[in-house]
Amino acid sequence: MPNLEVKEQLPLSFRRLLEISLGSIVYRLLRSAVTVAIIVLAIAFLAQIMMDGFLGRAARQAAQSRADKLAAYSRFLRQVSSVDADEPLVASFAKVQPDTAAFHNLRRWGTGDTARFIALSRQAQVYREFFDAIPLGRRVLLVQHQAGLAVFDWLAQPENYQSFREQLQRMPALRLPAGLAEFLTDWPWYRQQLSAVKSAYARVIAGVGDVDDQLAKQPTEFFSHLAAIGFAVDAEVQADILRGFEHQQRVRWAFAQLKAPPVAAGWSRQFQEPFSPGAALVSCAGSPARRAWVAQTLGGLDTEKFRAVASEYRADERLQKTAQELLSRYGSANALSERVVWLIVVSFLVCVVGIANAMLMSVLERFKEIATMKCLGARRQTIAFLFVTESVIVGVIGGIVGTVLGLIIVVVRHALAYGRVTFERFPTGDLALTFMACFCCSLLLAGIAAIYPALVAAKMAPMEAMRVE
Amino acid sequence: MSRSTTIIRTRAVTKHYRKGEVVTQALRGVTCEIRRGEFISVMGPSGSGKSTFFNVIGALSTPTAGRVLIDEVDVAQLSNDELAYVRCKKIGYVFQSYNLVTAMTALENVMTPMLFAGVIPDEARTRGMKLLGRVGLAEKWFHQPKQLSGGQQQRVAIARALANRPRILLCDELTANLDLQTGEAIIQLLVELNKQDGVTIICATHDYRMLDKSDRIFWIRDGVIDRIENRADLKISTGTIGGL
Ligand SMILES: Nc1ncnc2c1ncn2[C@@H]1O[C@H](COP(=O)(O)OP(=O)(O)OP(=O)(O)O)[C@@H](O)[C@H]1O
Ligand SMILES: [Mg+2]
Repeated sequence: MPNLEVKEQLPLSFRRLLEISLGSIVYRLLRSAVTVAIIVLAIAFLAQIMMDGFLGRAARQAAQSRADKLAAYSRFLRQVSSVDADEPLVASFAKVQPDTAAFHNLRRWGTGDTARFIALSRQAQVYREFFDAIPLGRRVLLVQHQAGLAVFDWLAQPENYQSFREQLQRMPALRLPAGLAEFLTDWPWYRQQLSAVKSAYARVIAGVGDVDDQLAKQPTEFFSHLAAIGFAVDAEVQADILRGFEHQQRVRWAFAQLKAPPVAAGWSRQFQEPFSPGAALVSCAGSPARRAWVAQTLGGLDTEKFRAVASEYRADERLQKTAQELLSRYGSANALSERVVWLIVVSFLVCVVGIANAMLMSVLERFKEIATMKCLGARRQTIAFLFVTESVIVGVIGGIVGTVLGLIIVVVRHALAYGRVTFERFPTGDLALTFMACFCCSLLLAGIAAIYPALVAAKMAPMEAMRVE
Repeated sequence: MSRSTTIIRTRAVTKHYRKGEVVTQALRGVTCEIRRGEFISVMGPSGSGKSTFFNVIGALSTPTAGRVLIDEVDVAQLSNDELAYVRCKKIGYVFQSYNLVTAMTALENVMTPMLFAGVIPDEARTRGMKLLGRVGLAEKWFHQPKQLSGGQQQRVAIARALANRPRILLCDELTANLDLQTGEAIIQLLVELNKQDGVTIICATHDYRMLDKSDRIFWIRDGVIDRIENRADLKISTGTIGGL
């Protein structure tokens, strides 16, 4: 005859859990700060590594496109002075976009179906890359020592193709892009087109004349002349070419000044370093004393122009260098290196163990408090949630601080190393995503780390409350 | 609903603590009955098993053998969540070392059991303030435990134990750390609760003033109830206690 109506205890409201956890974090501020610091370090490290890639690739693109503009003139010179070899030609056709000058040039030079020609170019490019990527030993087995387009010439002979097929069957690990057989049936036609384009192109080049002379005198007429004989250039590219040409002229002028005998001969004596016009011009950009010496040695130098050219030249050199550096560092795909992945994993482990240890200490230290809460009617889940909530709050704070810290570090580092290309195509969207990812990571880390301590706390006997030391 | 007059009943309760090879027999067969509304004092030398007895009748730990019934419900039959409910609603605990939550203010400490019981915060706050007033600490509601004296902490602990209007109040060494006057006031408060609200009070104590107010005294020695005395008998046997 039970008089006591026994029910199951209600769960505690989330808000109240939050309040209690916050109170306990604030009460043990130093310990919480240490835990936050652990998370901050691990997350800042992760954020730094992830954001570094995004920033670097964005800066690489920015630097690349600026360097491309700078190089427009020399590229143009190369194009109008000699026909490319087969390989670069195929590569440039594979890249061609419709409605550009390059596309129209191709249409004019070609004799057949342009669309089909471009499609085959793209395919040739794919197969070429495929064969180039095969390790040397296997490639020798498959296509002997052939490389590049020569592979297709070789494969076009039936007996060679036969042996290639046989070899390929023994290499099940190699996955050939589909359609090589069809491509090879079209290959003779493509070859014909290629040489037709090349010879038409060569005829155009024969009619070009002295490029620098024309550009200096009548650039507009020169470009219409080019278009008339079958070599069109996009208006935008024309502007780049002209700018590049003028820059080149100015640099030539500056070099001529520096190469004048009194300067060239006196330089190494004056500054205790070997003379080279490029390095000398760069050093003049940063040193009024050197410019003054050059002016004094030469007499009648246009000092203002010289200063402007020198700093222009230095900026270009720097951009080239930056672009190259960025390319070598961030040129390849997004994948993180194995070493970095390991570092991240280890830092996460350290972080989880660190938080778990701090939480466990906190639990063991507060055994009496926990037991008392149980005596006051806290359920096991409530106690567990209290500790998980505490850890997650710490994780949230650590995550935000860590990600912001990582972001600041990585942006400052990039700005110092690569200058303004860092901000030219600033990858805001990617960084925001990374921010979210890092934040989630910190929550996850804190949550995982809290599981064991929370279980220990939940299992603590309420009887412990009665214990007196 | 017919109500049993017995609120706590134990049958041959034993409790062993095992620490490695060493086994301590803290309780060795305790059988007793406590009636609704009784005021019980538990006396005994240090280490005799008073606190262990409280653990067992307060549903804080399960006995090694024997049965404990609170309001005729066998504690062993209850799930974890039901035990939490019993501890929250039916029993108030005042611990030997107060056990206030250090990170909370006095008021928050008193409010905690109410919030566990699902009382809305506003009501918990007014009730908490009322309870603090009752133990004479209303103006110290925002103090944290470390800013309170031992006696004040104990009074907060009592206020907390009363939060959910329990039917049973278990007090371990209640007046041990209090000065004469405060001790008197606390005892007065317990008597009031006992007489007016009908709360069953079970106190471990060394304080003879307490014995005077008790209905019965359990003498515990070496883990067994040595003898049980009624107050009337006590007066005859000692004569001077209470001095009324
Ligand atoms: N958690 C425990 N683990 C092991 N032994 C324990 C534990 N709690 C109590 N004991 C032992 O059980 C016996 C009874 O202890 P208990 O705390 O019940 O005594 P007590 O009467 O409350 O003493 P006091 O008056 O000093 O508070 C003691 O010998 C003690 O050492
Ligand atoms: Mg004790």
